[in-house]
Amino acid sequence: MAVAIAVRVRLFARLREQAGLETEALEVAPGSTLADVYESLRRKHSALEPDRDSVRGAINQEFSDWDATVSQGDEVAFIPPVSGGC
Amino acid sequence: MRYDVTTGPIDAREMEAAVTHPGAGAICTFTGIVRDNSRGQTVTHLDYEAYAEMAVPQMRHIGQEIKDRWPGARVAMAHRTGKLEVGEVSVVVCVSAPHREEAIAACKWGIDTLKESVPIWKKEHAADGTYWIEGDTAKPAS
Repeated sequence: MAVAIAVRVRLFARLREQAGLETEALEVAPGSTLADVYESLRRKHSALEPDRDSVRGAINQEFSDWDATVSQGDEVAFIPPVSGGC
Repeated sequence: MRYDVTTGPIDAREMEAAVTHPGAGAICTFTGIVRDNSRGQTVTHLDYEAYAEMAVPQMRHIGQEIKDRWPGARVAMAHRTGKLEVGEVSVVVCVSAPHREEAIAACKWGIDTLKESVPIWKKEHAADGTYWIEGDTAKPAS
């Protein structure tokens, strides 16, 4: 069994500025959830938004629950409240 | 059906042409424009950022739901990204339908849903500073 799986994390807007990066390759334990990935990212980038309730997660371009499990090679995105339109 | 996230200008007339067909008696087009004020402050310009790989599929979901809710509707949506000046078009939602009631209702539902679920963000450059707009709140940007 793999000891770690690799995911590609993408950050946008205010979260991107807080972390100072758009994308990061992250290794997490097999069975990790979206919430685990976010906490792992926060350990590396302490300026990242602490209030997870104001953030939504997406796996492979689909909004997903915080307890959804990530898989090897997934693209994981953390999405602050959106403000498209005018 | 056309769904675009683009750095170039949006041509609403071209989108109307894409949804028109002989069975469509009405086309409703919503055009969103950069306004010169927000929160009581003068706005100089906006920067829009998108997660384009997800924004386009989210627009497609909205278009599909419009077609399910309003049979016969055809949909085109486009959102611009990058730096936009006051008066420039940021978003266009265009719906054709057999009759005006459906076209207007579907177009309103389309822009309202886009604003809730499509991963695009607005950074506002205003007289009192620079802010990320997140839903109804403005948070200072770096």
